[in-house]
Formats: sequence, structure tokens, C-alpha cells
Amino acid sequence: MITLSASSVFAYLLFPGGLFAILFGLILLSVERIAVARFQGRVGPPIYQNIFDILKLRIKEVLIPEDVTNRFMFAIAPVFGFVGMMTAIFILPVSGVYGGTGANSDLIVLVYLMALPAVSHILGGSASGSTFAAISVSREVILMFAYEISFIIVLFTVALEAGAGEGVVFSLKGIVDYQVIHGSFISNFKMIPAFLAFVIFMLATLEVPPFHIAENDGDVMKGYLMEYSGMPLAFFEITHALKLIVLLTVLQVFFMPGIAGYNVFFNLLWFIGKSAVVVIGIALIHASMPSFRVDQAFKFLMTVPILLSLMSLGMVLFL
Amino acid sequence: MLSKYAIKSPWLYRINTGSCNGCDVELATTALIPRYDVERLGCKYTGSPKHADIVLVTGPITVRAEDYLIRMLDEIPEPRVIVAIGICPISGGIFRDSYSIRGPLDKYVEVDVNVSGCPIRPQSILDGVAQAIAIWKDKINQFHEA
Amino acid sequence: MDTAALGEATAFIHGHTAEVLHIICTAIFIFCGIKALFHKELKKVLIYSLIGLVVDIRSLLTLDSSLALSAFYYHVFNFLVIVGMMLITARSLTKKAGSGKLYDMRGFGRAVPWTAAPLAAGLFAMMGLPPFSVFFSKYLMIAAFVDSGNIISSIVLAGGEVLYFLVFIRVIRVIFLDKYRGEPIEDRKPRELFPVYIFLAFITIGGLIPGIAVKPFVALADAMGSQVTDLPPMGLSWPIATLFLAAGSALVFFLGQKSNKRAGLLSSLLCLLAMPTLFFSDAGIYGISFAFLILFMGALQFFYSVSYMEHSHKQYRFYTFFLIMIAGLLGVSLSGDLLSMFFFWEIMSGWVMYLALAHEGDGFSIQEATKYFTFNYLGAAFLLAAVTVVYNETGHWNYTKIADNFQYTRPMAIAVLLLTLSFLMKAAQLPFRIDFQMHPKPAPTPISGYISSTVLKSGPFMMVKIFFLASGGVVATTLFPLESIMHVTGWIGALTIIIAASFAMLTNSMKRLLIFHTVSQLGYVVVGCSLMTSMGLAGGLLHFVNHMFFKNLLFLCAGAVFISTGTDKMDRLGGLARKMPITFFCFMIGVLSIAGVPLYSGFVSKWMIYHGVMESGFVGIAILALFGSVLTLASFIKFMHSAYLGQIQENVRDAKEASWYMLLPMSVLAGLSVLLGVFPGIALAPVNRILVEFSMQPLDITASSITFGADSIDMLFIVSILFMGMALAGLVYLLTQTKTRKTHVFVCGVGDLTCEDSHVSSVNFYEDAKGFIKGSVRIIKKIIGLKGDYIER
Repeated sequence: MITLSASSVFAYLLFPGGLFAILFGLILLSVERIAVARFQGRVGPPIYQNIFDILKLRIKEVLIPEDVTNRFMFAIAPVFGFVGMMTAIFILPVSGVYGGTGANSDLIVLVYLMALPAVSHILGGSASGSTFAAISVSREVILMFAYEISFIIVLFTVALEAGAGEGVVFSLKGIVDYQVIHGSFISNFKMIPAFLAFVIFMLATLEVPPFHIAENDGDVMKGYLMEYSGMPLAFFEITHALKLIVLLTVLQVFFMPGIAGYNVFFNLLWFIGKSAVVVIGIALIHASMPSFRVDQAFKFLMTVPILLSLMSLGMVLFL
Repeated sequence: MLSKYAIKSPWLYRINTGSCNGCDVELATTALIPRYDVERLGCKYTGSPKHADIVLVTGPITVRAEDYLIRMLDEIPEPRVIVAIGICPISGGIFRDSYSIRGPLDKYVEVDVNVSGCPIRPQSILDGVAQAIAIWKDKINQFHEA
Repeated sequence: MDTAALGEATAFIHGHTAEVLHIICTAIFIFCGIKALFHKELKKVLIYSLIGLVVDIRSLLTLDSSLALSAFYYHVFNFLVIVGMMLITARSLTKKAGSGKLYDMRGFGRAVPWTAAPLAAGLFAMMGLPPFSVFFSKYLMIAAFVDSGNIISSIVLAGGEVLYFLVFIRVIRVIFLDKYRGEPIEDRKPRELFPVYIFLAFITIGGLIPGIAVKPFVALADAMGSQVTDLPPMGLSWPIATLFLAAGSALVFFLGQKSNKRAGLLSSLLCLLAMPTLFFSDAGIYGISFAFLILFMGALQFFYSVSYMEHSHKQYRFYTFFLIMIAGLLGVSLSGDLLSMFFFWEIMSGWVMYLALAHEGDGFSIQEATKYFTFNYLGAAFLLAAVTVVYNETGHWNYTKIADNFQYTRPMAIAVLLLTLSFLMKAAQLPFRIDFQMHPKPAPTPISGYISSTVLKSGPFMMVKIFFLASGGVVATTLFPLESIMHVTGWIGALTIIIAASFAMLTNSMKRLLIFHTVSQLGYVVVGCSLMTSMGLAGGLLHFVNHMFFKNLLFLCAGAVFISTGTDKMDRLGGLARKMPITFFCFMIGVLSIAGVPLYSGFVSKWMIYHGVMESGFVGIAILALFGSVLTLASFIKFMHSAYLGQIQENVRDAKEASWYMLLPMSVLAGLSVLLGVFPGIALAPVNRILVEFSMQPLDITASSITFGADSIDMLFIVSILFMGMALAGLVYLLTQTKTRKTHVFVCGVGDLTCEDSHVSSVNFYEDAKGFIKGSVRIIKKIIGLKGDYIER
């Protein structure tokens, strides 16, 4: 009944999930830091910096605050996000390279899996027993509430467009196949507002300035990560890297799954290239914008991305 | 072997125990100004002491800050390196005969690197951090043999 | 005055006698009602209400049918008997109290129960509630109106009785529910009250065997000249399980007086023993599976109440009423015809439920229970009118016979609309006045949890049945097409999801938050059930089952917290997870289920609902439903943080873990939530058989996967990947073990902050976004008039 063949385990653990995704994500995070530094006129860290960060965290001792209300929850919280992201990468198709998992590659499953890192931040922060963590958790929930609406609308827009008038395509592979035949959505004028809304959603969920609110050094002092040290903190960092890869892959599945021929290796390089370009774009926004205050961010996220995605939805339904 | 890659990512944490902020300005400078960028060494300023590897302490230990300093030093995980930035934590600096100074930093904790100056120059900070990284490597090995 | 004008006026009156008489009678009806509502003397109240009601039913005489005549005689006879009984009792009470004023008899019902019981029975009977005979005479009256084509008048009549309902409920509250503040007085023995009790027995038996009781009046109408040919059959079919539980409740009443534990365990055992009787029932799989769940949940609730009701008083009464309510609910699910269904529906949501909800006896409890009772009464009035129309159009009560003869004519369309409206009211959709629409917060947790999880499901249960019956018929009118009714129902469900969940974000009370979420999740069930496609209906029914389990689990956890800490307000709680870890663990499973995280049951049913909705093409409903999921998660995070995690507050310092009687049902439900999350096929197998019974294409399921058309999902596959990830993480943790050390939380080294200072409580939790949310809620409040901080309290 369980079809966990050797190839799926390979796909889950090594490529394109698991080890490949973690390493690629960490390298992309470093690329982002280097890009920000160069935009600011500095040199920036070496390209393997985030990998070294994880290796360093391995050797630190683990501190457990005595006020923690529930040690079990505190220890287990990082795992939720990690598990969710590993599963998400496993089910996401990379066009020309990996086909996803067939029937289970489903949009609804993806939505709930993508909410899991936020859940793990929230559980970890709440269980820390620290006031700063609690404040940061409340900010995170408020923002999540605001950006999930636009994500949901963009999702349905993409599903409707891929169904081309005869219903809705929930399968991720189906969306990719449709675009390979009919042209990427990014070249479709109806989907441009949805693309912009999705980029704003990406920035908000990655907590990149201007949305560096729930976990920043300034006022909440690292927020929900504050009480974590050593290996649990490493899990959070790995989850962050995986989240970046998941978001980039989803961006490409939704809007630009173009392939460069039928050679797997070239498609992989093309995927890496597109991701790197998007990351540098994120770095440009990061370097040039200050961060919002939480109520400003809430008002912004409740108005601008929602309007953009509704515009796209309207165009898809009625044009 | 572990320590070979671990030392490439030291995270810095700043504690101000009542300084005049001169050294703190220079600390901020070291991270942000292009010429003295500390991120080249893989360093990063963190917001929480539980993430810290190298602790940069500025300021003479004033009366009010003493309790807080002791409690915070407890919250920094091993293996760690304590660096005294500026002359104030080393000997009290120009405030050394004051009624509100509790004395040099090594009364409370074993200081690994002393970097003096008033205010300290960014180049000295970078030099101090580089020396701290070298000391840190030994500490990691000791921590994992114990 | 000019004789010509006078002559014209007289001619006018002669010509329109019926209308003029009608107007005069309506005026008297309303006048008497208002007088009775505010009068201070008990006897006068009773007499005014008698006059008003008799004048009202006089309108039966304008109809020309024999059915109307026999209904008139039966109804008047019932009223005379009951009011006679009540006047005798009122006289005894006046003698004992020394005054005829109503407010001087406060609490006498509790002090002299045997004397005053006929008064209570009479008042409930006058409202038209079963098991008294007025239920049937009122039904006959409505049937007479519908028979002669006046559907609108029947609806108005049924609704207008609410005025008298308020009169009677006032008397009941003052005499029976208020506290008695006098010296102890002696009650008369039942032997002495024999004549009054004869009357009581008369009207009760008349209610239980209506077919025989109505015969004399038919003969009377016969003798008056007209042949009664069109009397509806009034036989009740009593399912065995209902009889069993009804008998069992009497057993509990007498045997359970010794101790709470004995009463609770006995009730729980009765529920379990009633399960085998379901095999002898001839209801379809739809009814039997619902009945099985009803009994299962009931058994868990009673087991839980053994510990919960320790601090209450006279628990045997509570158990008795609760059991009768469950018996009524069983009757609704197992009955094979509409009349019995309605009879049991009224039992379930009638005076039995009222007395159980008002059990605690404090003012707030009684007030809220009364509001809910009024709302239910109104919903049932619509149901009465609709049911009568259905009989009239098809000529049968039996479901299968109705299905065969169904024709979607104009009156039938109105009936279907009224039925849907009444069932949606039961499920508390569009919760603008939630203080009326939902069961009250101060009621005891076992019954609150049971109503939320099981009783309210009778609404969608019957709604699906009606849609199924209606969809098989020949369409003969375009007045309210069935597709539009179903579509509008779906939209109502979707809006309810959002409205209820947004109110829940603002509230500060544990139980009120759970009540709002019940309404919101019922919105999901309504959305799924309104689609009547395979995937949609299966999703709605699966959510029906899943919601029962996880909502009851959440209510039980809230009840355990209430018993341990003594407060229901989240801003006084904090850090409970340390004191009550098992409760916290079960609570977390409930929260993850309701939020729809994969591995737990809520995810599968929500997945199916989304697919079903998109299959039918309703994008707006799907977006609202998915957004509701986010709102649900947000409000539960607030609950989780401010009550369980965070710093320990003063109410929590002495809290202890809940007792085993409470933990066992919670663990069972938590286990079921996880089991159904991984193997939804266990619940979907009966659902598939129900789909076949409703002539729909069954889904293709295995124990853990669902396939229908191009959509498919395999939960075991997803869960096994999740477990692989967890195993990987665990392995990494094990391999990289380093030293650990205990230290304190980082607050910049400050050491003198108290727990109260550093806890972020529920009122402060969403402070940053509150301005925006409050603004929108303020607008809604202005539109619907929900004053004050009812939501926030």
C-alpha cells in the first residue's frame, strides 16, 4: 500500500529533496547576504557561510531556560517546520528535472505544509516562556493572517487559469504541464498582478525587510528564536533555508516553469540560474528598504497584495 | 575536525556595562562601514546571548550594571570567548577612581582578549576578533574533549 | 349620522364579516398576550392567556372543512383541561404563599414540587411541546389551515404563538427556577393531589397515543354533520433505542439520587447498552450511523460528568434531562417518517433541554438558557408549518413514500425553503445575534460540549435528507429552484465560517471562543452538505464526524481547566501546561485537528470540501473557507498561548491535573482524531454506503486513500513521509548530543520581574491588529445591534 520505493526515498533524502535542497538553500542564503553586502558597498561573507553557521551550531552547548512551561513542546517545536518543508520539497515538481509524487502533489496539501514553519515558530516561541518571544509570536500570527489571504487568492487564480475554463487543476504537475504547452504565466498579462502579489507574499513570509518584524535584532531581539541555542537553533536555520527553496520552487511552478531542452542537467542549471536571479532581486529589495512597524505592515498586507490578487482573479474569471 | 569549519562562523554579542558609547559607536562602525566590514570573517551580530560565540564587553562595570552583567554572562553557551573592548573593562579607564565603578571585568569572568584604546579603533577591533577566533578554536577542542 | 352612510357601513361590514372578525380577533389575541406578559397575578395571567389562545383558534371556524372543526374541538378541550388543572394548582399555591401575586410565589416550584408540578407540565403543554397532547392538536390546527390553502396564515399562527411562549416562560422562571427564600413549607402528598394528576396523565397519554386520543373529537365533528375524510394519520413510530433511553432516564432519576458517581456511571452504561438495539432498527445506514455516534458521544460525556459534576447539586435531575434529550435526538435520527421526526425534534430542543441547560440555577444561566429556548421554539414553529405542507402535498409521512410522490410545486418550494431555514437556524448559521442562536456559555460543560458536537448536527443531518428527497422530484415551479436554495445555503455557510471565526479572535472567554468555533465549523459542514455532489457531500459528512470528535475534545479540555482553576477567562490564566500536561497534550491534538494540519483528522475532511467546492465551480466559497482556516488557527494560538503557555498566573498556581474520569474520554477522542487523520477510510466506509443510499456515485476509497475522478490523496503516504522526516530529525538530535545546561530566560539580565508582569495575556495578544479588526467589527455591530461587549466578555 505504501509506495515508498527506493527512488522516492532517494528523492526525499538526497536529490532534489533533502541534502541537495538544504545545501542549495544555505548557499542561496549566503548569496543573498553577499548581494546585500555588495549593494551596500561592503564585501560580504564567503559563499559557504550559512553552511559553516550550521556546522558551528553543532558544537555549542544547549541552554534550556528554567521558566519553560513545557519542555517537550520546547524541544519538539523546530521539528514541525523541518518535517513540513522536507515533505513540501518532496512533493513539488521541478520542471524538466523531477515530476513530483503524482497524485499527492496537490495544492491544498501544499498550503497546509507551507503553514507549518510558521506553526513551529509559534509553538517554539510560546513554549519559551519569554515575554519577547510571546510578543514576536503575536506579531507573526498577525502577519501570517494578513499574507495568507493573498496567497490563497493567488493559488486559486493559478489553478483556475491552468484549468482553462473547464474547471480547476489542483495538481501541481498539471499546472506545470499546462504552462509548458501554453506558455508561462509570467508572460500572460492577466497573471502579472498575481505575480506581484506572490512576490510580496514571499518577502513577508521570509521575513526579509521591509517585513523584518517578527524576528529582528531591533525591538524583539530575535523573538521566538531567543531561547534556542545549539542544535535546535540549527534546525530552525535549516528550515529557513528549505523554506527559501520551497518558495522559489513554488514561484517557478506557478509562474515560470520554462525548460531549456530535454536534458535533465541543463534544466537543473536553468532552475538554479532562475533561483539565483530571484534571490538577487530579493537582496536588492532587502538592501534598499527599511522595515515596517507591525501595524503598518498589517495594513499594507491587508490592502495591496489582496487588491492585486483580486485583480488577477477577476481577469481570469471574466476575460 | 569539527573546529576547523566551526571557527569560520563566529557570532558576536555586545554587552554595554555603562560605557560612554564611544566604543559602541566604533563597534557599530565595524559592522556597517564598508572599509571595516566584519562580515568578511563570517561574523554576525546577534540579538540574543544564547546565540553568541564571542562576547564583546564595553564599559567599566558600573554599580547598576553589575547584577545584569553576571546574569547575562550565565546565559552565554560554551565554548565562548570574552573580549574586553576599550580600556574601560580592562582597568576602568578614565573613570577608574569613581564611586560607581565596580572594577575591571576580570573580577567576574576570565577575559581572553584585551583590546585597549579610548575610543578603540575599528582596526583594533578586527585584530582583537581575529585573535579571539584563534583562541576559540582551542576552546572548542577543549570543550569537546571534556 | 347620515343614514345612508350608516347603511353603507353596515353593508360593508356584512359583506366582509370574516375579515373584520379576523382583525378583531387578532387584536384581542395581541392585547391578551401583552396583558398576560405584564400582569402580576398568576390567576389573571392564566385566564388572559386562555382567552387569547381560544380567540386565536376561533379562526379555525372560518375554514369550512371538517378537519378544522375536529381540530377546533380537540384544541379547545385540551386547553380547558389544562387551564382547569393550572387554576386548581394556582389556587393551592396562592393558599400556601398567602398572596395571589406571581412574584410572591418565587421559587415555590422548588419548595413544594409535588403541588406545583402540574402547573409546570401545564405551562409546557400550553406551549405546544411534546409529550403532551396540545402538540397534536396544534398540529391538527396548522394542518387544517394548510389543507384549505392558507399557508401564510399557518406560518403566522405558528410564529404568533411566540408571544404566549414568552408569557409562559416568565411564569416558569419565576416559580420554578428562581430561588426560594421563605421558611420551609409542607408539601401535600400525591394522594391528596390525585384529581389534578389525573388531568396531567390524561394530557400526557393523549400526547403519546395521538391516533386514539383524537378519535372522540372526530366523532363529534362527524355528528355535527360533516364527514371527516382527510384526517392525517397520527401514529408515532418509537425506535427501540429511544424507548430504552427514556425508560433508562426514569431509572436514573430514581436510582441516581444516592450519589453523583452512581448516576453518571449508570447513564454512561445505559448509552452503551442502547447500542446493540440499533441492530433491530429499520432506519437506513444514514440514521443508524448517526445514532451510533450519538450514543458513543453520550457515553463519553456521562463518564466525564462523573468527575465534572461533583461540585454541582442534584445531579440526578441533570442526568435524567440529558438522557431524555439524547433519546429525542435518537428519535430524530432513527425515525422513518416526518411526523415522528418532528415529535422527537421538539423533545430534543424543548423543555427538557431548557431545564438541563439551566441546571446551575444562577441568574445568568437561566437568562441565557431562556434566550436559547426561545430561539429554538421559533425555529420549530417554522418546521411545523413546513412539515404540514409536505404532508399535504404528498399525502404521506413516510420518507420513502414521500420520495416516490415528490413534486416540486409552488407550496412544496415554500416548504423546502422553510425546512432549510429551520435546519440552518438549528445549526446557528449567520451568527449575528449569537447570544440567542447558540447554546449558553454558563451551562455545564458536558451538556455544552454535547450540544456543540452532536445535537446541533441534527440540523445538517435533516437538511441533507430534505435535499435528497427534493432532488428526486418532478419540477413543477420556478419559484425557489432547488439549485438556488442549495447555492444560497453554501454561501450562508461560507459567510458563517468567516464571521464566527472573526468574533472568536476578539473574545476573552474560553467557552465562548469554542462556541464561536462550533458555529464556524458547522459552516464547513453546511458548505459541504449543500453541494450534494459525491466529493462535497462526503467531505461534509466526514467533517460532521471529525468535528464531533475534536470539538468535544476541546470542550472537555476547557471544562477540565474550568474545574481546576475556577475561571473561564483567558486573561486570568497562564502557564497551565506545566500543571496539567496531559490535558495540554490532548488540547494540542484538538487544536492541530481544527486547524487542519496534515496527520490530524481535520485536514482530510477540509481537503475533500475544498475539492468538492471547486469541482462545482464556486471559487468565492472556496476562498472564504480556506481563509476561515487561517482565522481558526489564529484564534486558537491566542487561546493556547494565553492559557496554557506563557507565565504562570495566580489562578493557576494551585491547579492540579484533571482526574481520570475526565482524562479518559479526552484521550479516547484525541486518539480518534489522529486515527481518522491517518486512516480516514474508517469513517468513509459508512459515508460511501450513505452516498449509495442517496443514489450518488460512491468514492473510491481504501483505508487511507481517497480517489474520485482526477483527484486523489493518500494519507498514509503523506503521513509516512512526515514520520520519515521526524525520524530523520530525531536521528540528528541523537547523533549531535552535546552538554545541556539550565539557565534563565533572557530579559536583559533583569531579575525582579514577576510572572504577572511578563505574561502576554489574551486581551493584549492581538493588540497591534486590534485597531483594524475592531473597526470592522464596530460597523457590523452597528448594523445588527449586538450591543456592548457581549463578544469580548
